[in-house]
Amino acid sequence: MQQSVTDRLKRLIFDRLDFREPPNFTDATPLFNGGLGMDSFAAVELISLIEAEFGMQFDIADLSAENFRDVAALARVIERYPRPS
Amino acid sequence: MTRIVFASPAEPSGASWLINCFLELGVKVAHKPVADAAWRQSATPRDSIWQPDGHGRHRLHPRAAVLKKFLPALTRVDTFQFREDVEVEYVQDLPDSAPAADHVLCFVRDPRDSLYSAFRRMQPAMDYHRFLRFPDPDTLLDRPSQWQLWVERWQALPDAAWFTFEAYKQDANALLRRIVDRLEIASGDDAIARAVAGSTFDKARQAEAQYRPRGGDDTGLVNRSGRVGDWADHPEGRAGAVTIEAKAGAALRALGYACRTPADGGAEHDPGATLSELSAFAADIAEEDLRGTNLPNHRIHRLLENLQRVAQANGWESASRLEALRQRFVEGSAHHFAQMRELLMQQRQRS
Repeated sequence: MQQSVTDRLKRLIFDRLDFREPPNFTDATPLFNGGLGMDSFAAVELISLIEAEFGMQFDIADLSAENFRDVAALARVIERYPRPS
Repeated sequence: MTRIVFASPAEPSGASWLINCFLELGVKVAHKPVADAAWRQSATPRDSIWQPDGHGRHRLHPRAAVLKKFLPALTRVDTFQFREDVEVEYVQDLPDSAPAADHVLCFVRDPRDSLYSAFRRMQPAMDYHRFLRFPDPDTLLDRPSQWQLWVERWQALPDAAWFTFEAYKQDANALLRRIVDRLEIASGDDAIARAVAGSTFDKARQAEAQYRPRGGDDTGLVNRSGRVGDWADHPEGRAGAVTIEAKAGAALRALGYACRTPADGGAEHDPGATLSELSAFAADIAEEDLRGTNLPNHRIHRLLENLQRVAQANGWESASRLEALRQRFVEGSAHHFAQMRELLMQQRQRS
């Protein structure tokens, strides 16, 4: 069965970026302050991982605090990009 | 297992040379400053810059790859077979109390050289005079006072072994021999000679040239051939030395460095003057100045947080302005993303 975009994102964050998954983590948990506590280093790394995982390149305009607020918001942005054939 | 704590101030003091020598000798080194930075938000243990490869060897964790800029052994060797009789933890912090270690090793450099070297490495958008007075984000002390505090706190520990950058420059082989003997790390002369040969300035420069950072904020030149007494050849270095001797003269003298300022000639440790300087700094500091320091966002955020606390406690008018300023350095803010967009744009243009 194909994994959802949110599941793939969580795999990147917890497995590849080495963040510890909080017990109450949801798709609406903030990625930065008050949530996972991501920093700029991790954010830049996450962008690279997403681009490799989903075969896309972010438009610079899409790199915003709103789009990177949480996993759900980030998944919505990724889903807008065409999938590589 | 012998545990060694190896401490040096944050300014360029030659510590990377010794760390590289340890790695060349097969000694595992836990690099706390890099681990703290890479895993700031994580519960991963701080020596996790090393990953076991499953066959008794260790490789550097990718998040600590920045160390390849400083340590040529990491470029030369992919996986390390570390000795099991000794382990080193490298720190730059002030000691909380007596560290749980069999030996404490402190490695220092004349601050008139090390602070001037830090200034040239960081390339801040400010002159050296202002750089020296810029407050430490944790203690809010100016740089010479912070250096003095660091020396005083580590000197307060009994039985710490002190070595200097100047001794390394004089005879690296002899110094490494003295250090391993003092720390009871059994090493033959050949091993010492190989470790020193693998840790030269040229080797460090080559490693740095090979290292290609992933992040766009990591492009500064770190390896410079440090010369003893270099500060005296530069007018700004000489002017800075007056400030350093005035504020950190006691620690300089305690370590045997010659000072031109008389022992009682400096305005050392005047809390009133420090507070008044801080108040002026808090009233004047602007976002552009802070960005010009080239400090990472989280360090500037920490500085503003501490400064704001002092401002509130002392009823300074700058408290609310500092809070507004601090918001500009919050990770994940709109402002932070604007900077990141800029950074990625530059990266894409370069590639």
